[in-house]
Amino acid sequence: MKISIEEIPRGEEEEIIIRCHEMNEEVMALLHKLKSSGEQLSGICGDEIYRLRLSDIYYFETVDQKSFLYGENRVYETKLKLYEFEELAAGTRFFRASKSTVINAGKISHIKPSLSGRFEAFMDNGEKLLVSRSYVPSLKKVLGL
Amino acid sequence: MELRELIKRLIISYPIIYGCSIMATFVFCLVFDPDSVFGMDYLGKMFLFALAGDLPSLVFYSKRELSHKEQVLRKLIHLLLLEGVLLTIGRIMGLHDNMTEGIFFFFIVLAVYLIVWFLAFSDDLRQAKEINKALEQRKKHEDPTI
Repeated sequence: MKISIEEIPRGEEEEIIIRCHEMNEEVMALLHKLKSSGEQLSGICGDEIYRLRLSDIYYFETVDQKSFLYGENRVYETKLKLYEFEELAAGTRFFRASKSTVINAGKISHIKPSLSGRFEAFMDNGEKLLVSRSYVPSLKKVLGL
Repeated sequence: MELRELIKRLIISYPIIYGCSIMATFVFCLVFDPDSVFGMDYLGKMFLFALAGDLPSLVFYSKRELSHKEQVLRKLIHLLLLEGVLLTIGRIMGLHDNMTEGIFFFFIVLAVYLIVWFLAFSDDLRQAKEINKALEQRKKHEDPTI
């Protein structure tokens, strides 16, 4: 696919035009990625509400019916349910890793199998998360394997 | 592990256990009773034996996500349960008749368990290597904001 970039004057609005033969799955996935990359979420940390970019989130987790967004150094509470977050992050690098977590594959440093029959994902910020064996195909799909 | 996933796993592992049981019978008889002859009923008995070997996997059922420690503990319980069930069923079915045969039977079950675990772990290592390679490639070439 040919990629063209045109620099425009400051005053003009930036835009992305996709020229394709047909709206196939590949184009739709690309479109979803472009839309989601700028997606902003609200997260509560202490008494403050933060606007967070989807791409800055390391993982999403539900604990005791509460949902949390994990950034590099901070944890934010969110009103989103796990399925809502999954829908929001569809087509991006996020994948379901267990019953309660959705991980950003773009923030994984490496993974290794554990003796318990699951996989451990080592995040860029040093955190270690578990990936259930049944969700490994989701990770592979996100990575195009 | 969720019940639905567990049942799927039980169905998949049943024919594998059946096949392994037949192979284990071959090794066992080769050592203790090379002249033994089996009738059709033995194949039928093996269906029940394989089921007995499959059902202890229900110990992995859990509504919530298990921790690493809990998962390792359940694996240990599963192995002990499996040995107990198979030794008992084996004794009832006449697969082992004395202490020596019983001990050998115990080690055959243990060996099969360890081989299956080793094969699964080797496959996990292969998958992890493949995934790590893809992660590395992505980090090199892609825009991290997408």
